[in-house]
Amino acid sequence: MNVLPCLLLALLCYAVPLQGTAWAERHAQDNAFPQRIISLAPSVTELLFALDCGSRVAGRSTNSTTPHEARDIPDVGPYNRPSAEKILALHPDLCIALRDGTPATVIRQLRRAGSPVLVLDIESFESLGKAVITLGKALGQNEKASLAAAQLKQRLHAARQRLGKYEDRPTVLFQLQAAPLIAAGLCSFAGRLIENAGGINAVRHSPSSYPVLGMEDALLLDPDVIIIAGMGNAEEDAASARRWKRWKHIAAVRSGRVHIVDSDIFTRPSLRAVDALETLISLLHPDKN
Amino acid sequence: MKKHALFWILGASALVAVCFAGLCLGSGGISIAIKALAGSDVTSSAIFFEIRLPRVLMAGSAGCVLASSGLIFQTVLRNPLSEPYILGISGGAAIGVICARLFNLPPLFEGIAAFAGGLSTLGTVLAVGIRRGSAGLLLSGVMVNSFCGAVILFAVSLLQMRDLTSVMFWFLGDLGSADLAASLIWTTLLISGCCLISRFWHALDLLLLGEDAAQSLGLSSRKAAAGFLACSSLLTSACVCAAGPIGFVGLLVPHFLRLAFGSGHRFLFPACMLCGAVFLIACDAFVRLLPFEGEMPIGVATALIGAPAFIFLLMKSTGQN
Repeated sequence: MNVLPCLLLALLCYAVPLQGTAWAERHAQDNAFPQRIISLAPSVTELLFALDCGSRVAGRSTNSTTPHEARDIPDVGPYNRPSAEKILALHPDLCIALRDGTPATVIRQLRRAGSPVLVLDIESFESLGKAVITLGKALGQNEKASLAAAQLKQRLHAARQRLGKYEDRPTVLFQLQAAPLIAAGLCSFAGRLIENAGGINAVRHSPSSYPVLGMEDALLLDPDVIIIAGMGNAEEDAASARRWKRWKHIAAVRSGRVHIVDSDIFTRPSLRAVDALETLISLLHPDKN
Repeated sequence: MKKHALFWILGASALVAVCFAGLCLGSGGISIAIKALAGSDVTSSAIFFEIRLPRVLMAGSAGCVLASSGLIFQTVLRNPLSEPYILGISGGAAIGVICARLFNLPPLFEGIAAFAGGLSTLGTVLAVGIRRGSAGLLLSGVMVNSFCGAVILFAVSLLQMRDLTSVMFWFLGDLGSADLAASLIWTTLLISGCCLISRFWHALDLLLLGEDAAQSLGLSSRKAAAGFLACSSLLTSACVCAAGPIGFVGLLVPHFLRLAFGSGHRFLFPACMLCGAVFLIACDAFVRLLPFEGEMPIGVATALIGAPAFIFLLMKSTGQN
């Protein structure tokens, strides 16, 4: 890539904050697609690989372990505290961040240092589709992105059809962490999954995306289903489920509806989120299987 | 004597009152306690007996231990600002607990690691500061405590986000993790330990007179001091293991009582036990009244109440002097 366009791009990005679609379109017109991309969130890494841009990823956030090839890419730190220095040392021509996750200070630092940052805002399936299209435009993978977005829409439609008209809407507590007990609130991605899967979020009255609950609150909520975001450690996940079994008067425990799911699939706004939705529909509405 | 009798009556009433508040306050309100005692609702019974009662027990026993440990440290080291939290004993014990958790050691080893951590920091503080007078001891304690804090933050920074929140919550004091059986065991152990030490109030009185005076009165002062410090470090470490490091109780309660009733340990020691328990149960009830989502760590409340109260006491005592 020529130095001049890069400098111009850097100047442009410094002067104008980059926000999703508008920047992607502008960049696409330049016809110089980024070749050294830094993914600042695991879900972004998944999306990049899904759009066949894995070879262009020069750095990734710590937990970007899917797909397996991503593990060989240099680590720039966890999604919530990435190292601006490590990122800049990799000479990126584009960093891709998530609005809900990447610290604003790091985004500002990167922009000040002349590195363009594309911030994706993914909070629902609809915005996920839009983010895929935006990424496609920014990376010169329009066709792949359109196809992926269409497939996403189609699978979403099929899942909703399968769900059909439901009368029974179980209350669901989605546990992200056991101690302290942190649940997925209405505005979180997992919270939106619950709504999409025909459940009622047990913590719907909380304004927070990730409310912290006392055990007393959890007992008073008395959810019909408890979903535990497992972290891949079978022993820890089982212990987390066992902790609930102590409270036998909770409807979910009484009816054996405490389920452990893969946190990576359920909490990351990636294309695998439709798998999560399908699984959640099966768990919330066993009669629809 | 009348003053002391009045104290015990008021103290016992305050204990009953804060226990009542602790059992009645919470997101479910007082109705939980009524339904639980009437046996009309299983969820209310679970909340009352498995969440609120263990918390009150843990707060009471931890408060009792922390206040009496503070008193022992202040008497033995003859320094009014000495207490396990400020001198880094709690921090050392917390390092032990965090290391044990990092290596997934069983709870017994967690306790041993906490005690080892607490004793190591005590040894370091004494080795560095004991010959440098009161201010030197305090400074070395503050430095060792800062170092412990840095080691804990270093360990925490290595953790994943999920574990990080968990450890940070514990680090600020967590009374809600024990169930009824565990809290009963902890309470029995901690209060028995305090009662056992309180039997040696006479030795504490002698230590207050100074090493030479205590020696001349027949007390092997060094052995006694080492024994007291080791025992209170053991109890503090156990407390850290059960409820995380909680500050200010050991500083505030003995100071308040010493100002009001003088330095005689026959009265002061059990009074510290009672007031420490009342203070921590009250703080726990206070955090449940705050409009905070979930549960605010108890250490936040003890610092919020303890720091201004201590400044007030300090100003009052300076005024008196």
